[in-house]
Amino acid sequence: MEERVVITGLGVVSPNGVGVEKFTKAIKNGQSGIKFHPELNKLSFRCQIGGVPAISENARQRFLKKHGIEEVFSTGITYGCIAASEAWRDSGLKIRSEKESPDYESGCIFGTGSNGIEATHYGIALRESGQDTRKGNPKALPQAINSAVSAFIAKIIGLGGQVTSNASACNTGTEAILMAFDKIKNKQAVRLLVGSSESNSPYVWGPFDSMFATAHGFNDQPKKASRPMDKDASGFVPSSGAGALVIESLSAAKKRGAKIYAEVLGGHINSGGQRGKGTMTIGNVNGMVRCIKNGLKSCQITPDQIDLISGHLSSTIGDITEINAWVRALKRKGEAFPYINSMKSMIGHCLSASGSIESVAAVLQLYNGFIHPSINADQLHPEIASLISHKRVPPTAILDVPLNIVCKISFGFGDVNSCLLLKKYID
Amino acid sequence: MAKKTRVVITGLGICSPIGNGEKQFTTSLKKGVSGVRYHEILKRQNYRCHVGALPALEQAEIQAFTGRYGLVKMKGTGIVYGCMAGVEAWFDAGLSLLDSKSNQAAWESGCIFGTCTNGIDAIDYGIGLVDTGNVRKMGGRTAQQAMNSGVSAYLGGIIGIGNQLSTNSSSCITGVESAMEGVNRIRQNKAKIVLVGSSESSHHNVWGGYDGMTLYDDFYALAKGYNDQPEKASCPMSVHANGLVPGGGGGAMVLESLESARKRGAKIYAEILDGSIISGAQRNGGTMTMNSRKSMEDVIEFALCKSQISAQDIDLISGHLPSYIMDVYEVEAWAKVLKRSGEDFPYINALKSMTGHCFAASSSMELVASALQLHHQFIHPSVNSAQLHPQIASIIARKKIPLKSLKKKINIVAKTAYGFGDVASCIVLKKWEGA
Repeated sequence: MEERVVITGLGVVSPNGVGVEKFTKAIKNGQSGIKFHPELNKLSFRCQIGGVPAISENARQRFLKKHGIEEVFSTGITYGCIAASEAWRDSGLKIRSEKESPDYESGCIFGTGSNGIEATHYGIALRESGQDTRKGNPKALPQAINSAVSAFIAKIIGLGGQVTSNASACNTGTEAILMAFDKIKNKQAVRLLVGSSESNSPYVWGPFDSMFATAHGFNDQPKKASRPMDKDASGFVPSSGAGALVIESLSAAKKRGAKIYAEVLGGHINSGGQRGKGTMTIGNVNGMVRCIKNGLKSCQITPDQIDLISGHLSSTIGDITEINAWVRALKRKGEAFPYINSMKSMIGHCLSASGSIESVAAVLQLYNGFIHPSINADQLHPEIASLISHKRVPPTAILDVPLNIVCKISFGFGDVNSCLLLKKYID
Repeated sequence: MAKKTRVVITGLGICSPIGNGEKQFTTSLKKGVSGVRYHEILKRQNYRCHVGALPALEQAEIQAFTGRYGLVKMKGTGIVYGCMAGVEAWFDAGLSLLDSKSNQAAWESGCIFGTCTNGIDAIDYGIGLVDTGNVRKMGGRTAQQAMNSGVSAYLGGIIGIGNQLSTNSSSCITGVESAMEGVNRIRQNKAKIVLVGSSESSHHNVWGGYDGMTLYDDFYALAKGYNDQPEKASCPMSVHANGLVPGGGGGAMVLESLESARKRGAKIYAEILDGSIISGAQRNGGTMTMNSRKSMEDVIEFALCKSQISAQDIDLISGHLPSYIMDVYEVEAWAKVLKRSGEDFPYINALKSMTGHCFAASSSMELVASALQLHHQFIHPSVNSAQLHPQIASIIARKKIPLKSLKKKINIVAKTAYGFGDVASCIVLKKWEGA
């Protein structure tokens, strides 16, 4: 018999709230985490705003010391480790001491696109400085490799199953959850700590700025800059952070009497092949439609069962393609369209971290029965308005709403897609 | 229990320091040539180790390739190596690229292609521009090369991949892991064909990082004292092994369900039985940079169990064997789990003796070599191992570590890979006999 898969722990490091409690409050209130960053102005960026989680230097050092990883200076690795350890504790699981054996039943899939940036920069700066390269920090390099975040998390917690980092650009976080789902369903793992994180660095944001992908014209009103689905959406707001979830088999969760946030029904991962209108940077709508349809089919969910869509919706031209894909896949439009919201309206685009932070938000909405607002969608883009009713895009939170099925979607460079289906857990 | 879907290897591609393309690589494997060279730039940067191994590619060859597949302003050497190997494997499997005019993708074909640091070339370029206030000059082709999944994203576009398209990273076990993820995807009936593999940039910044790094105590990671004899520097299992030789390259395999391969009448190189991936969690003596002995042993045991083979079935071990004390630990792990020693020990060889350590790319290059050895029934030499480390010599009979290529009947090859973060992997391949 195949296993049912549930979510038993959550952790988050988001620009509008660090920790699940603060984050929940922030997303209910529609609180933006986007700020102006003078450093980007000095560096002549077009877009000088972004999202950075508020973690004091003191708190950072305390965390690293407590977990014996003082050498970590990558922001993405730090965010990832903080979110992961929160999720693990939240699930009621124990962190194994250094003297205990690794837990072979528990693994980790924790992705990133560019957590290595600080360590890579360190190495390059050392080379450029003309100083003796032999006198560098010998603990810098491991942080440059892509799997460092999962390796540090495994060390902190004592994870002995598969420990790896996936990467599929902005699709990474949602993909990690679906990969974990497959492994648990097929009994290759009992439990996986999954998530993703992204460093906060102008070197991560620079390439997007240069390709005109980021928001323009909002440097003086940062909170208005990320406006998914709005007619004035002008590009995404670069951001950073981490989200983490503990995913395990229902039988294991029940056995240890764990709190269950939601059930993972499954979903679909695919690519549009950079064919049709798809390219390296723009998704092929046929791939998206297929991803949604196959996702639903694999969980035997019909389109009318979907209560809420947690969109990818990055505040770019891609929003229109996404809404088109949903309407085509679900055959629901106007007022019959499900509720839809965009976490990015409040926190910008956390790139590889986005899928996991947004999934944490999706789970919180299911569990607590609310729908967070999609802020700044003041006037829908006309093409979007022709497809869905503005009433389905909540400007303020909808409280006390019974949600049963939430569908989370993520897309990424390379024309990659993931569609995840979450269900309210009923014993 | 339901029977596992059988998964076979139907295509191979390689871009390595000892040859680009399956043919040249096979010839080099048989001859036991070294691809390690002296690199002036490493000396100029004042690094300790001035030797390294990278694929011999002329600029014109790279341009011809990037031109043919529309890879504009390509900076990432690792992305190029990965795409070259991936495309070769795809064609070798008798598959074709999806028409660029199609508006659908190849929905049944996936790609899981790993790396550790392919983004470094683009990141280096980007940092230079950001630091000088020239961020706007970077252009539109940097982000996709700097991001970790650049290599799979480019391969997806070239081929028209419509199934899962992703990049895995788990330091030096990345190649074995990508193969196992491909096997899983096929066994879960989610894809028919998965292109797997891994690649690594040969940028001197990648190597420079390892140069300043210690693995334990004050033991620096890279080979020492070989700057004037590069071809001798990578000497796994030798008493002279004193650090790894950095390398770059890419290896790729097309994995497919046996049913799909048969339906297409595809050539089959070998079957993948199963494997295991675990972490020692940096406990029991394991650290970020050294594996725990226990995880090194356990992963072998788990892989044999999942593959349903006995210790005696193994004919050849394709080791991780990076050319330092890890070699000894690895041989001890094998001997302990298999309970085989002396002349009863399986044959064992290290591709790294010829290619150096190509990091994330290493274990997929070694899997390509394993498939070739099974297919052509030979065992490649483990060069520079003339004087065995005494602890290894006390476990394995000399003749089980070939110094020259051997023609041998081999049926089962077991491949280990270990990596930073105390991650461990083992995968088992079987000769294809048309059964």
